[in-house]
Amino acid sequence: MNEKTNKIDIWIFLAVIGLLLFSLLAVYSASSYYFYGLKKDTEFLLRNHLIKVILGIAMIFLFMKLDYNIYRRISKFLIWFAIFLLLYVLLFAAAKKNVYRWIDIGPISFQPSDFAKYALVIHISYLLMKKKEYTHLLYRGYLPVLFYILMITALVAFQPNLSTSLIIFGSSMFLLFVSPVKMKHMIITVLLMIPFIIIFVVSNEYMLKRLSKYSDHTSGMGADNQLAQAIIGLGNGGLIGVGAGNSYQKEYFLHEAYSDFIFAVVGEEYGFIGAVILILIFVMLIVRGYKVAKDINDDFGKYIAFGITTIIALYSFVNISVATGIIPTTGVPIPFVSYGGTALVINCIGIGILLNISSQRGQVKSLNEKFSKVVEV
Amino acid sequence: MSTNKKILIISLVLIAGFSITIANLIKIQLFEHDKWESVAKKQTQDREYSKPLRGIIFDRNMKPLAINHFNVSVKVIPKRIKNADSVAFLLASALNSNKEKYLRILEMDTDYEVPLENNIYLENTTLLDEINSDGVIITKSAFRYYPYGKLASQIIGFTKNDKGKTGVEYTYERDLAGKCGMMIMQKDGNGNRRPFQGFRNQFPEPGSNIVLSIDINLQRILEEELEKGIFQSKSKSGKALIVSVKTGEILAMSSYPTYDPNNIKSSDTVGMKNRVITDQFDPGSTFKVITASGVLDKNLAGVNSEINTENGLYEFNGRVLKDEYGSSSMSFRKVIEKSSNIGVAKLSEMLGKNELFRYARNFGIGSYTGLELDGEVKGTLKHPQQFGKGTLQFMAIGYEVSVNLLQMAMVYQCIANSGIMMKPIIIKRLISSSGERINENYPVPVRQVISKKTSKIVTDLLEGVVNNMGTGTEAALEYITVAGKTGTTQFNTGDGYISHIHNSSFIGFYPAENPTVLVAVFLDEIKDEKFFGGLVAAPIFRRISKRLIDYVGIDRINSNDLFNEGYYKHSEDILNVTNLNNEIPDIKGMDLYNAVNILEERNIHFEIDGFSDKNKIPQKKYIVAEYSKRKKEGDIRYVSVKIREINRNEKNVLLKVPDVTGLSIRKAIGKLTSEGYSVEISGSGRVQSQIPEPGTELRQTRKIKLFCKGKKS
Repeated sequence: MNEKTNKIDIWIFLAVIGLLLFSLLAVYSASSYYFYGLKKDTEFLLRNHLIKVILGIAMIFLFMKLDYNIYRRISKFLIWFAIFLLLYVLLFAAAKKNVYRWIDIGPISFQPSDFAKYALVIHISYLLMKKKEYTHLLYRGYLPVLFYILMITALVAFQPNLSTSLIIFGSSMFLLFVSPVKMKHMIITVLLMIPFIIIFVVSNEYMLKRLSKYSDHTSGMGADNQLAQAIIGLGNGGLIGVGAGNSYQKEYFLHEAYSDFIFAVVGEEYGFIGAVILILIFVMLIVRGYKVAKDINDDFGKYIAFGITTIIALYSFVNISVATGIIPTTGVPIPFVSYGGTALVINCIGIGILLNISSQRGQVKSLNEKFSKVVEV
Repeated sequence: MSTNKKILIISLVLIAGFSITIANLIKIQLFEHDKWESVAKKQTQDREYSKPLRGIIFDRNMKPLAINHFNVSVKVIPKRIKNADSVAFLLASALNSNKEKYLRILEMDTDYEVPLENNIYLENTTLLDEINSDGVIITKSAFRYYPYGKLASQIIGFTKNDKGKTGVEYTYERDLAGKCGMMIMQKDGNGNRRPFQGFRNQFPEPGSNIVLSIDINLQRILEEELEKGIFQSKSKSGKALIVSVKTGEILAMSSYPTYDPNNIKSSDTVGMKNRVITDQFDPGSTFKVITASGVLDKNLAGVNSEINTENGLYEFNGRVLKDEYGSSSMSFRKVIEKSSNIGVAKLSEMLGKNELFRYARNFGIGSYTGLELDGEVKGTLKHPQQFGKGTLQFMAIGYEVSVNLLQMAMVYQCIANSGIMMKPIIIKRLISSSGERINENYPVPVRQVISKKTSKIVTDLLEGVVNNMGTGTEAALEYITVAGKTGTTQFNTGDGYISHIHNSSFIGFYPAENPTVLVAVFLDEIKDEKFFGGLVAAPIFRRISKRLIDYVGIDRINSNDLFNEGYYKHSEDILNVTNLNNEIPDIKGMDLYNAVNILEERNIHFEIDGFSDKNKIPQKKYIVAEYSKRKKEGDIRYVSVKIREINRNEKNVLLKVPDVTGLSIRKAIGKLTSEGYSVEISGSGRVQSQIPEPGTELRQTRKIKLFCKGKKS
């Protein structure tokens, strides 16, 4: 755009820092009663969360400074490393006959799917940028990209973690939509996916149950207790809320209120005003993220910025929609606000990358050619 | 389409998505807020009521007659108990159990509630109340226990589900019950509860304690001797009471059969009735004293006047009266001593029907005694206008009139107490749970019925009944002079008299020179040959009195302080001050029904202008237009009433119930009666509340119930 914008997008930065600081308050309030009952320690989760927040902020600063162009060189490595980790987790799951999404590295639990979604965005962006001239072709352009998308989506789905895999698939489709990929290819892909999703849901009793319970949530006494309790909490909050720290629902009515249903606690404590402000902060974050994608002259940066923003957008939208009963209950955290361990740190890395791209708006566009040459050497 | 345009489309789609969430929040948080708030409140808050302890009922010597015992359950959370050894010791001593047994449970390694004791019975929980340790959960529920079992059970009554059902427990429910405490508890999703902050806990207030006028030792004497007497005389049932002559306080009262309030059976309904006040009967010879008093009070004859007793057979107006031992004539004194029916009938002819009626009414016949217990019947007293052929003579000897035993006893109380009738008292005082006196029932003289001089003469006559070979010789006591009267009546089924079934009674008081104690005994349906009051009821009187004198001590029996606790003032003095006799309530505008009730309750004679038979007036159709005091034969308590029909328009005018709360009873009654309401009073002191409430709109006046409490002003 203009020559001077080699500064980061301050709105994105402030929004994320603000959300992270607010999350300390929200997680503390939502977890203290629960952990007092569990460990006689009201601050247990707060301390844990504080470490993640500090680590996350550090990552924002670190990746903000790191030139995003170096991902061109390592995107292929990142995606295959993600595939390796997901396969590793799946094998563990087979051995334990259980849902297994985590890798434990010492005290840190690491969820490969969090890493995989960013690796996928970066690699798709790289492929779209590299195959720019023939992305509209099925065999040379579209199918190689789709291969990675389906690979990651399937591996996450079989954990099983359908909601995350659908968000990954969805954000990838959004990314393809804004690229020169042919609309016909995408539509056929989505249509072909539908029977797979249905078969997947039907074969999974647990998911079916959740879906059927969703249908009677509006009574407030529905079998889907989590959702019913979320709505009671929001409703009780009213316009101005019951006040910080005063949520009733966090006291065993909403289980693990500090994670996927933290939005309901926020809506209960801070009321409609607080909930809407939270939504507007996310909307601003998304709009600014897309503005970064729009403003950058480099296609690789554009796709990464769009992809990262879309991931944040879909996660926050799905989470809030679940908590307000618009879509069936599914366990998806809200970025930066939920207690979320590694997901929080990795989302911060994503924001760091987005901020770095924002700082390179108005730079020379010849970068494309320069780096593609380097790779080809 | 360029990439940037597509980004714009995606961002618009997402903004639309978020708008839907906001729309949904508007619905849930703004429009449905009230609904969800109440759902949340329901699942997070609980009201917890704690029952108050019921007030204790004492006898006059503060012996507890109705108390609370407890069912106690104890649960423990072992891990939360820090000092297991000492807690185990305290629990064991409070629950009368084994410390080692408890210690084993207290030392368990668990975070859950473990029941320690379930529903065990404790007489008091003072030791248990002192255990205040984290992790010990005590729940106790109180229930009523009557330490004396059957004794005085008809007076005390019993409770069911913590509510008084009969007796004092029922009549004084409001005082005894106390106030429920309330706590708001906050619940979490797992059902854990804690007190809700921001609500001041209302602790339960224990009920007031009640002190009765009865003496449980005298009650025991009375009940034992009554039961024995009934067994010996083969009668079906009986009743008896002891009254303190100077104060009108009931010292003992019972009817047989009785019941055990600690062990209620369905067959107990007969025994639950306090038939001293709930049953009415024809008094027979004991009533003769009223006729005699009237004649003497009016100076119509002297005790030595010769009365023509018609050789034991007196026919008049087609009716016949007989005497057991007939003679041509005898003195007034002999008529009473021998209980001559014909002699008393002759006396009544001197007195006349209006005066007989007036004396009977003034002695309290036909009206409630005002005893503070429910279920009293007022009996029937025929008005002179209702008298049939021979009613005068038959009523004079105690037929064609019915009374309850308390009314009859109070007639003798009046004679014994220099002609001053006292209000019978069963509730001596109310004491708050913290021990301060709330209300004291002081002795209340009702009216002077006969002159002091007359009362002395009548007492002298009654002394003769017991001592001069009269009908009551079986009642005589060593060292103490008894005055009294026997009574024998044929059993009145209601339709007529059965000649072979008799009722037998004796009412007497002593010492005759300065009476302090009155005992009345009545046996129903004696089928034995020996049925005369003098032979059946008098010995029971004697046995009760003998034991009573042993109990109080023969030296104290004629002391003015007996049963008086020092506050006693002679009733003559009180009577002079209160001036009760001259008070006539304002009845103008009242409907006739209420007016008649009030006048009758206060023993005020009245005439209704233009109607010779006031009992035939449809009372609800008339209101009092005017009334005036009338001097008639020197009696100022005589009212002449003018009435008029209520017209329809007047009926449709809505009346507003006046507010009398806070007023003294006397003022409240004055205000209400002046506006045409009748009044029912519960408790004493100042008016605390009223039903219907002030301001209630009514079509016509009705009875207003006043609940009173507190010290008399």
